[in-house]
Amino acid sequence: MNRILVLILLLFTSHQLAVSQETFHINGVANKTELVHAFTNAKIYLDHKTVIENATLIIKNQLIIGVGTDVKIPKGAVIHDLKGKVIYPSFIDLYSSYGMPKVKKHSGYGWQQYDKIDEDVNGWNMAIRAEVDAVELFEINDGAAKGYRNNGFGAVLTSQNDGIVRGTSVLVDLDNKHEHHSILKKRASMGFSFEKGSSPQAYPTAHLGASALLKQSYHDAIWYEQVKNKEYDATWEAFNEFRNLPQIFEVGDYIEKFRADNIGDAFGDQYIIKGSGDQYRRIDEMKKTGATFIVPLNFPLAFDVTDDQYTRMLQLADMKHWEMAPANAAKLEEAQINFVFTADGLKKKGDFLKNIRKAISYGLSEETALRAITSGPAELIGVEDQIGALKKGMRANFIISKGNVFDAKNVIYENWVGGSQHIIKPINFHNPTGEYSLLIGARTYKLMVTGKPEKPKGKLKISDTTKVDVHLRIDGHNVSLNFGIGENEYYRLAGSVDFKSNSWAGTGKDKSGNILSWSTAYAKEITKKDKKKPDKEKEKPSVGAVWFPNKAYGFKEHPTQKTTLIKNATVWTNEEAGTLKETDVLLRDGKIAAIGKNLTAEGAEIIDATGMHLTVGIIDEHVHFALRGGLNEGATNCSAEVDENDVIYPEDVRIYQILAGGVSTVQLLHGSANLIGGKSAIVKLRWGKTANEMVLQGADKFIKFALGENTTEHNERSGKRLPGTRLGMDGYYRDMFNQAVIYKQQWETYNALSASKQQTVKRPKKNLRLDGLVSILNGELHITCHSYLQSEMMMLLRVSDDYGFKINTFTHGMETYKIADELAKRGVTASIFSDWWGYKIEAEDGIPQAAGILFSEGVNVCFNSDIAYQSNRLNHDVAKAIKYAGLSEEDTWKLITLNPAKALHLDDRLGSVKVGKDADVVIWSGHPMSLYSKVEKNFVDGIVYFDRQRDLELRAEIKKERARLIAKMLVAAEDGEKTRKPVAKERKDYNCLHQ
Amino acid sequence: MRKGLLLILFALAFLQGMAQAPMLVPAVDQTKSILLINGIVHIGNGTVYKSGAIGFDKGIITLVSEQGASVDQSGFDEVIDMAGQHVYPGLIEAQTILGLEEVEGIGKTTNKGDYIIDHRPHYRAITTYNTESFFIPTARANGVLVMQIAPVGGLLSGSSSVVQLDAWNWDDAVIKMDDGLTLMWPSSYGGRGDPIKRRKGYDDKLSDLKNIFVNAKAYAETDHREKDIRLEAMKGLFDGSQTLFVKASLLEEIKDAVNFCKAQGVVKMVLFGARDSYMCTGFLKENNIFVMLPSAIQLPNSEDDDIDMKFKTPSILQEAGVKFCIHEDWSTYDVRNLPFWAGMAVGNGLTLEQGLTAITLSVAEILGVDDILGSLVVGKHATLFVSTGDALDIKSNNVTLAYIQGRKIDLNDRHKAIAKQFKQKYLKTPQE
Repeated sequence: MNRILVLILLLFTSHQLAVSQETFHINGVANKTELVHAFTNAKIYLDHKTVIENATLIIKNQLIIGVGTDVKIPKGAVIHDLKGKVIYPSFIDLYSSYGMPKVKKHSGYGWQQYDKIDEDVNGWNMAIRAEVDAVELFEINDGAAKGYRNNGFGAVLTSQNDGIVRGTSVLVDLDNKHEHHSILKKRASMGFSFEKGSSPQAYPTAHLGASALLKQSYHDAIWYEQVKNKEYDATWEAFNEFRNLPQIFEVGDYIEKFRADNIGDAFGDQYIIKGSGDQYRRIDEMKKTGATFIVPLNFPLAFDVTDDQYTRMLQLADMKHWEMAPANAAKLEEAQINFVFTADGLKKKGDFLKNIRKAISYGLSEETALRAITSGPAELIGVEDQIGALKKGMRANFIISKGNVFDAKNVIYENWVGGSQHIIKPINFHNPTGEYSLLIGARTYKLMVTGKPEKPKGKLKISDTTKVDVHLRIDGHNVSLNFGIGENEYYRLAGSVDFKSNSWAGTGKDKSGNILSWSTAYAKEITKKDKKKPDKEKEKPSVGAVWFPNKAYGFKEHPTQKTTLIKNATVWTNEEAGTLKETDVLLRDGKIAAIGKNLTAEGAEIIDATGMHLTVGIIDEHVHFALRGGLNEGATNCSAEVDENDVIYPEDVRIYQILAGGVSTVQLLHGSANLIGGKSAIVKLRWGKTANEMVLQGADKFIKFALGENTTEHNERSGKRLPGTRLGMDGYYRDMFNQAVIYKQQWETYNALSASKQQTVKRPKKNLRLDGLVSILNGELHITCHSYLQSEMMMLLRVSDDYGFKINTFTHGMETYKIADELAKRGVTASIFSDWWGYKIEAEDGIPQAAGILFSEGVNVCFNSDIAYQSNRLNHDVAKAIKYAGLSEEDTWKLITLNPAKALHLDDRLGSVKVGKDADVVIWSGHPMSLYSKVEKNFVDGIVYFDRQRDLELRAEIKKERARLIAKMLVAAEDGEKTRKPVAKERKDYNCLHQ
Repeated sequence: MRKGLLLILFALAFLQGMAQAPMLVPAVDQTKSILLINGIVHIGNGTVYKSGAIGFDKGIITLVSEQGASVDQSGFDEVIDMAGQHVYPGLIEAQTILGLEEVEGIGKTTNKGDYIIDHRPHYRAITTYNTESFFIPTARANGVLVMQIAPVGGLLSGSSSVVQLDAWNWDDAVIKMDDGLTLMWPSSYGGRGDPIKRRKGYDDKLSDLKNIFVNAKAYAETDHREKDIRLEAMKGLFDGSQTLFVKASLLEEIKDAVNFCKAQGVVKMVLFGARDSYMCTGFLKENNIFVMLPSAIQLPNSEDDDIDMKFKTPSILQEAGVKFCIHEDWSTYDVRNLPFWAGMAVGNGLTLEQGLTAITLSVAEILGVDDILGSLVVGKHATLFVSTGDALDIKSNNVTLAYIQGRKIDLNDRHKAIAKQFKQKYLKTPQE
């Protein structure tokens, strides 16, 4: 549709629907008659909760002109007698791309496409598409519309769901006449997601960048609105214009929902979340966000579990989701969370009502279900006065149903869209299935008619054991039957159907051509043999408990904080007291409350740790796990705007496994793809909690820098992104910090102006990337820098001198021992590996003696893991400092506890066993650095997140739960549920070497 | 193109300078007989003498005694008191690329990928073995004294050889030349993170493999005037003079590989990789398959697995009676950690001596060199080392003395040299 048409159209839409539209000249016979239709004697759902019996609905053109038990039928109305039938408002779907052109895939652009490819006036990033206006793209697609109509839908909200900001949607009805008739509300909502979609532009490569880009977009739009005399930009014009619309945010799962929420909170927007049907995993937290959900019904199929070769690879998480997904809606209702349903994601639209029915069988009320497909969606986009209910003046969007729409055997006969009739199944449609007695001449047989009503199959029962197939055809009133009995008898019968009595009669011929008369009498309905099934449906299916997280090693109940007295341990204090034998430690309110001999505490849980060792929890300064959607935002050489806190994946089982290695706190770092990476997340391993709950509140903020081969290797591969050489590293840092200094000055100058003066000048534009660098200049954001060679580290130190900032840590820091004097002087931490070396040229001089040299020069030294499977055994690795570097055992232990706490500016709360510090302590079966020792218990904030005994119980629980679900899937398959091939996910670990 | 070339030249220049230095001087042959007394002697077969004695002459062990203090010392030129120290047989690393790969990060120096042909049984790892690789001294310094170097890449990768780690060149390093062939069993499943998805081309690869084995077996049965160097290189598989080392990981691959070798008449087969071996211990035992387990340090691939699944695999095999050893899988710089991979298995169910056996005698048996290596027994090579503490635990592994075939070897390495160098720097820094 072109713009002019749209403009004309807009004059007529929204509240002017009462007027019959004539925007075209008619070629043919003019039909100006405005017929009235009256639907009488029906049971009518005025809305999801109001039902009237024996009522009449009257419509004229597109609108309802009367509804109730006491309405007068105007003369000349077409009467539809719907005795015994039910009228519902037709359904509404708020998430579709109905009638939208296919999203074009851009081809021919490599992974280093840093610039936008289109020359237009729309923003700078092709994933931000606020200007896309669905009303301009909409074209009726009757095939698709029919799919919706046949399942009861009258209207859908549609848009091109592509990109991070997706532009505005249009609400259309599902009629097939002309676009003009179909559009109910243009620009009904604005869409968002974290997926960049078809954009060929490299940025953002990761979810990290997508989050940052969305935040920056808000700032860009705000700036655009506030500032005069700027370049025209259609994206920001649209973004600002439509920001007050309902904002629909599509997320991949409930974890992303929290991420979207964090962004919404920052900018004062409450999104409607188009979710993935897994809200049950965190129902309480979902409730707290106050969001409304658009919930899909694409319940996963059961797995085919008949072959153990594959079944053993299935993951409990997937099996549990299979079981829980149909119960999601009931859980939402129970928690009083507002939600609506969408057919999005269903392979067949026919599964829509079927799956709602399934949700109802899991406890969802019919009233809420009906609301979720009628008035609920209407309200969310502010069209409750037009659709979603049946009231005078509202649009004539309704369905005529045989009975309750949620009944398995229900039939939808007609779907009226904007006053236009669409017949799905004729109301007087005759269903011939059933058991009949067939009388031919003097003989009687039992005739069974089965199969689809449109295509019935006949079988003649001669005796209990003998049955013959009947060739049966029913076409309107006409019926014919051909069949043979044995070798000698053959009959060809023809006749007609009496719909009222459902009896057939006529004449026919036998094998010899003798004419005979015949008739059938309807006896009864054929009941299926399987009598279990109906009973089952009545009974609410039971589902297993939701675990936290809902997968292997999840907790049924979160472990709690208790006052705990640990008796008689060898305590490695990391303080002046050194290692204390036979000592007690009291944990209370998440803190270390007392250390000493023969302690007592009322109400405390006592743990006898005789022969065991107690240490503070391990802190890993540098590792990458529990992150999702990519840990690098590598499409730019500076990604100071991104923050790993946005992509924490709290369900990574590595969290649990690493707890089992005595670790309590980790810094999840950005990768090393670019010179200036992103901000890190410092989290405590509070397994079972949400991402936000895992974040260590109050910690200083850190950012990853990277030097060397990883940053220049892009050059080797095709070479568009700086730096291409080590020489370019210095050049690039200076360029970026120079920009940051200028940016900082601009803001300082602006902020120094009086409010009235500020009005007269152009406000600087907020730039999250440069903000990151300014935070560095202001000493609020601290640098941990991936580094190998001494030359590059010296370079960065000089850059930092020239721009007045500090380097906090050289991580990896392979050659830090070569500049130990310089680091000691500046108070820079060296966070190195235990003994990694030689895997690339810049790692040739890695030596395991480094910790000793650095230590004796007074440098704060840490060991870090970089990769999950080193993190869980840092306690072993650290022993290499005893072996190679000659450190004492106590100084060695500090390399992975107190020293990283210092590096992260957390040594006032973490890193040693000291009264008042966090109760992050570990009980070890023996010497904490021996390969032969194990973690007995790992406390974080005084809560036992890992317990060796409980671990064994959890393993047993996993096996039991798997067995239960496998058995359940087998039963489901026997009951006729479709199955799918098993899938499994391999867990890969990431580090800076192999990104 | 020019840029690429420059980069390579630069890298090569760098390697020339770094990768080969500092060279240690191989020791001269043993001329004096030596007796180590009063040490804690770990024989390698599970036996420990709390205060034993080991004597050796001309590179061969001549005396092993449980009574270190009362042993007759008269026949020995040199007697060394090892009181409180541990004496171990030299550790043996199997199927390693140490000495073949220089720098992992530079493809051209790794000698791993040769994508031009899949089947190259006539390739010989020994020809590429660099006795001057700077990783070797670091491995020796932790007790690794013997290795089976093996090719990587393709399917039939070529032949391996057993070498000792104190030599001027590969020719004098070799202990057992071309002891076996390495077969990288094709990946059956996996790809795109889904181990259930069957890989395209798996069956084709199997039928190619079958072809070459069928041909090789037929070829081995008669003498040929016109030689086929590929089939010639496989002859030993069918008379048992060479072992086929097959890398297979998943359960289905393991079973396919074992059944394949049986069907093709391969006399001796050893399995490595073997990630799922714990699932089929009965099958492995039944077929008398020896297994090499990779460093058991990784976390599980599947989140439902026991969190220590990989750590405890050695003890599962031990309990089931499957013959196994432990090796460092694929990395060069981590070969020095071999004793600790055994230690990790000890922390997860093996006894200390079982852990030691898994990196000494069992390796020798699997490689077919247990007549000369793997334990401290009279008549075997005097390839052994002394550590002040338990060599399998990181904090106490401290090798003070090591002999290869009776030669006392230099325990210095690149790290120690660099550390010494930079300690000098700080000595010169004036005190403030």
